Amino acid sequence: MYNDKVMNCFFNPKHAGVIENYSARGFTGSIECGDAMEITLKIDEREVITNAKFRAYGCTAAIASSEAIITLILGKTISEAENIRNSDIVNYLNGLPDLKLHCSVLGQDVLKDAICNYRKIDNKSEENEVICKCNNIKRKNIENLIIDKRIFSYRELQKLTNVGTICGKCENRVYAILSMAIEKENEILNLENK
Amino acid sequence: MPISHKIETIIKNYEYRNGIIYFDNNATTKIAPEVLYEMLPYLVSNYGNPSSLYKFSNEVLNKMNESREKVADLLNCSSDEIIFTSCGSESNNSAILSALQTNPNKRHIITTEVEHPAIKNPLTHLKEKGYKVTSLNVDNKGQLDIQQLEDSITDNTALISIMYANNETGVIFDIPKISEIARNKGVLFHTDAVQAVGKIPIDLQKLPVDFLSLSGHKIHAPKGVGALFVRNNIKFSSFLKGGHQENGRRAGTENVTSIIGLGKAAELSKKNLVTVNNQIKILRDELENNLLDTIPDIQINGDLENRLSNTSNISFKYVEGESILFMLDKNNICISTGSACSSHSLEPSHVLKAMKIQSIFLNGSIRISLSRYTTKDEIKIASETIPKIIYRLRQLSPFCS
Repeated sequence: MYNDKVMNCFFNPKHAGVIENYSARGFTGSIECGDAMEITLKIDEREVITNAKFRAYGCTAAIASSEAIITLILGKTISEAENIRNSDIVNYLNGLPDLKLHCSVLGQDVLKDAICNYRKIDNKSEENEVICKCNNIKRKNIENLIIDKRIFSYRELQKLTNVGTICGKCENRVYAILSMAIEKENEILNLENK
Repeated sequence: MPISHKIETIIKNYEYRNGIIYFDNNATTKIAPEVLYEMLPYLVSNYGNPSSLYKFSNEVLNKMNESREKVADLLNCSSDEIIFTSCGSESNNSAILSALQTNPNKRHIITTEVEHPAIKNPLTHLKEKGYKVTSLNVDNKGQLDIQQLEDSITDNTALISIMYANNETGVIFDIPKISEIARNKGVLFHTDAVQAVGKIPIDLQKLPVDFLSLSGHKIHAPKGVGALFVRNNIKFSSFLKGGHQENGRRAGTENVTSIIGLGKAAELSKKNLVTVNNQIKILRDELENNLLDTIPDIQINGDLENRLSNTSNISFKYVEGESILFMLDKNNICISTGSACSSHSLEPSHVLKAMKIQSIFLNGSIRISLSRYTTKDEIKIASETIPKIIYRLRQLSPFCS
């Protein structure tokens, strides 16, 4: 199914892990869709990527594409890296099966996300910010439920969206969104009372 | 080297598997040596067409009918109720189409959401042609709601087709009860028993089933042969039309050698039915317990009380099934997975989805299926290898800290 190059990147990735004190981090995908990638980059003052690592959840092609993107960006400047396309990942891997080409797209996406993060540009507008990465639940999904359906409990939100039901790391962020909404609600009530 | 020597060399290396641990016996099985032995003369010197009249062919015909007796004996039915086919899929298609053709006024079929594609896809095709198909849901253990089944039956129902045991989870449906309901309501009942035959006792004298499909290569016979049981008083319309073979019920010169292999395999299955399947269960349970003891965030899928003794469907959180498959493949262990990434459609297993398994477990599921050739040593190797692989993949996973 896969060629030797893909298999080699999968079995012996040389850049797996996380960089402590990274200069930029990129993330894309979700457990729901079966693939996810994270990259962390160390970037020096000349904007050269001096170190980079990945973590990936997904199939052989997803893990191999992650290794490929790291190999392709190491030693390059941010603006050089910006020009890397998913086809470069496919070429580096000597080809991917047609059904797995989307894994190379994930590689391009995660790089884009990391570069935006480095430049402090919001890759996703605020409402599209993914709160629960495991289930790919966005800020707007949660806010809509609070505002339109008047759901003010974390447990209820979990039941309706599955938010925070897998790794649970987003629990605090959901509570923050909830308390902000409640504060807003109280302000409006106070104004009305006055 | 003369060809006869080359053949001898292949036979000598019969047990040689290159160190492969084959844990995918619900996909296919090894041909039993006894089966090959029985088949060889008919591949080599006894090549007569069973339809010919001279004694050179009579011997082949007799041997083929001996096979029919053996298959009938395994299922406790009459040998004239067995039709040899090319595979389980052909048996399934034949049963469904015959039931519809002999009941032209009824246009409703009841089935389940978890059937094998060999049932699912023919029924989808019939749906497009205007038939009404009811697919019964399963619960999170993969079991049916018998009441829902009963309520779905109408005067328009031509056929109920429900698998005996599930290929992915090994979950066994209550076919005695379901077939009884069908019989009482006067509806034809077919069961795809490809995974159940040889693994659990099936007594067609007691079981009110009208059609039953089985496949040779799941019970240590070769690929390319199957059988369909059609109860004697049930009208049958042939699927493959042509010559008079199989009493006019399935045309085409018989796949003699494979049929002979299937007969021997059925005989061995009957002999091994209880004792060997108990031994396989002990090995399967040992492997599951070892994995449950050594790997956190893991779950066994299916109805654990009503499950084939050889099958284990296991899910691991934070890792994806296809990458487990290839890591195990590198360690010479063959398994299969229900993850979306491994399938040709990028859709996760319809069986686990129907059971509403959470996506984090669904995409990290593997199926291990053992056989009577599985050894204690192989279980030990797998028990040591799988935890290492899961640990390694979890280290790579951004969801696992």
